[in-house]
Amino acid sequence: MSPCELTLTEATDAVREGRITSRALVEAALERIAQWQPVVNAFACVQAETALAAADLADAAVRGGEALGPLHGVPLAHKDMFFRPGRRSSMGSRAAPPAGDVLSTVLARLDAAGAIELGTLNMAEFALGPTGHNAYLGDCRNPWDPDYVACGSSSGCGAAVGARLAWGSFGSDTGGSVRLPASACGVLGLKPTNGRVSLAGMMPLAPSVDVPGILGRSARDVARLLTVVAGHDPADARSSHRPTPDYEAGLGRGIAGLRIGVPQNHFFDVVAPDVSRAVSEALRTLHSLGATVVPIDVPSPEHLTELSRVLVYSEAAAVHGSWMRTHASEYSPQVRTRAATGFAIPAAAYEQAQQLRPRLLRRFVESVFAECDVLYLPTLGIPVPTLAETDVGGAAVMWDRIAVLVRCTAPFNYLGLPALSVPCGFTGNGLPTSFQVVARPFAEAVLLRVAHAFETATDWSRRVPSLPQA
Amino acid sequence: MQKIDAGTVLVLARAQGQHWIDATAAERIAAGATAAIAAMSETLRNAEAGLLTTGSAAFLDVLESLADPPQ
Repeated sequence: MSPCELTLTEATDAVREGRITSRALVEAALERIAQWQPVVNAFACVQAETALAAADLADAAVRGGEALGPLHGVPLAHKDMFFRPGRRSSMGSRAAPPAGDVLSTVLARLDAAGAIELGTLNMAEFALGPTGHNAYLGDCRNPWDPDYVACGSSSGCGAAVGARLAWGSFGSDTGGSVRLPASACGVLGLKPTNGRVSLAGMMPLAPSVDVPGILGRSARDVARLLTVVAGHDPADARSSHRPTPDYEAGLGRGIAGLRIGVPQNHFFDVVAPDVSRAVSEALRTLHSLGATVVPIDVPSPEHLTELSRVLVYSEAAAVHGSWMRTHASEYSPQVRTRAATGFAIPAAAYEQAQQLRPRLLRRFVESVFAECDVLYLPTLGIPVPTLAETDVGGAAVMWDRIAVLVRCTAPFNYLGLPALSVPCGFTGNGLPTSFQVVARPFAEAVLLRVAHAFETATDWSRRVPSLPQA
Repeated sequence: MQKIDAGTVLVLARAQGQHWIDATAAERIAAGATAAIAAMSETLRNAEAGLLTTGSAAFLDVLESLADPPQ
C-alpha cells in the first residue's frame, strides 16, 4: 500500500516508530500531487523544498530521540487563507489585500505539534461560494470525477484529502464550507462549536459566524487535529476558555444507548432518493451498533439559513467595503454581488439577527437535545452536481442554487453548534454522499464517537478514488 | 411581501461609495436582501413579544452555558 493511503494517525505512528521517514511521506505526497494536480487543481501553491527541508529536520529529531509532537513529521495542507509570515495568501482572489506579517493560531499550533505544510489549497474566492468554481486560481474539481464540483468554499481541502494528497486539512466553515467539500469528496468534515478554535490570523468572511474546520480521513484523524488546535487563544476574544478534552480518548466507547434524533420536519423535505437511501442505510447501521433512533421535531428550522445570511452578508460587506470601493473590478461577479448584499440589509435587521441568535440557540438545544444526544440528517440533500450545472456566476438563479446546497448546513452556523459530516456511500452518479450529525455546544467528542463507531462497521471513508485515465 | 427594489439598492450603494454596482447587480442584491429581511421579519413575528435585549456579545456565554446537559 502507498504511504499516501495511510491515515494521519497511522502515518504519525509509522514516523514515530521509525517504520517510515517523514521525507518518504513528503516525497510520496509530492509524487501523487504531480499526478493529481492537473486533474483536480487542489493546490494554490506547492512548497516542495520547504516541506522536504522540514521533513529532514523531523527525521533528525526522530533519530536524535527528541520529544515528538502528536503530528510529528506528517504533511498537511490548508485552505489558502491561514496567514503565515513571508507568504502572501491568495484568499482565492485576484483582489486579495495583503494580510501583514501574521502567523495564524491554527498554523502555530500545528507547527508546534510537528506537522509539515505541503503548500496552500484552492478555495472559493474569499470563501464566498459553495461549489469550488474559481476564475482566478482555476476551478477545483472532484477527485471522484473531475466533471463534478468538489463543493466549497474549502474546495481544495476536499479534493486534496479525498485524493490522498495530504493527510489532513484545515478549512473554514461559515455556511457549510468544510462539511460540503468533505461530503462531496468522500472524507470527514468537522465544523467545531463557534469559539472552540481560534480565528486569529485567518481571513475573515463573517467573523461572528466563521469557524476553522477540519477535513480528515478518519474520526481518529479529526480527533487528533482538533485536540491540537482547540482551546482558548488570547489573540481571539471570541475563543472559549472551556477546557479542551483529549478527543481521541473516548472514541472507542461505542454508541450503545446513544439517542440519535431524526428530524421529522425540514431537513428531509428536499432529499434525492439515492441520498435518502444511503443516509437511511447508515442510520440502520448505527442502530445495529446499539444506538436508539428517536423522531424529533426541530423548532422553526426554516428561517435559520436566511438569518445566517443576514449576519454573513452584513459582516462580509463590512469586511470588504473599503477594499471593494477601489478593487471591485477584480472580484468575480457572484462574489462581489453576494458580499454587496450587506449594503442593502438595514443595521436594525443585523442587530435583530444577532440578538435572536442566543434565544433561538437556547430554544433549539433545550428542545432537541432533551430528546436526543445527536441530531442526524444529510449533509447535502442532492447528489454532487457537475461544474457545468452550477456555473451560474452572478445570474439571478444563484440564490436558489446556493440555498439548495447549504439547506442542511447553514442553520448550524447560525446556531454555532458542532456538526460532523461522515461519508456513507455513493449516489447514482458515482460521487460520494454522507450523513451529518449535530450535537449540543462543545460536544464534538460525541460526534467523533458516532463517526468512529460507523467506521468500524463500514469502509466508506477508506475508499480512495482512482486517477482518471488520460 | 414588501420588496427592496433595485433603485433603493443603487441609492444605498452610492451613499456607501460602491459606485461599481450597476442595475443588474442591484437587481440581484435586492433579491438577496429581500429574502434575508423577510426571514428576519417572519422570525420576529413568531418570537415572544417584547424588546430584544440580549447583546450579541453574550453568544459565546450562551454556547458555554448550554454545553453540559442538565442533571
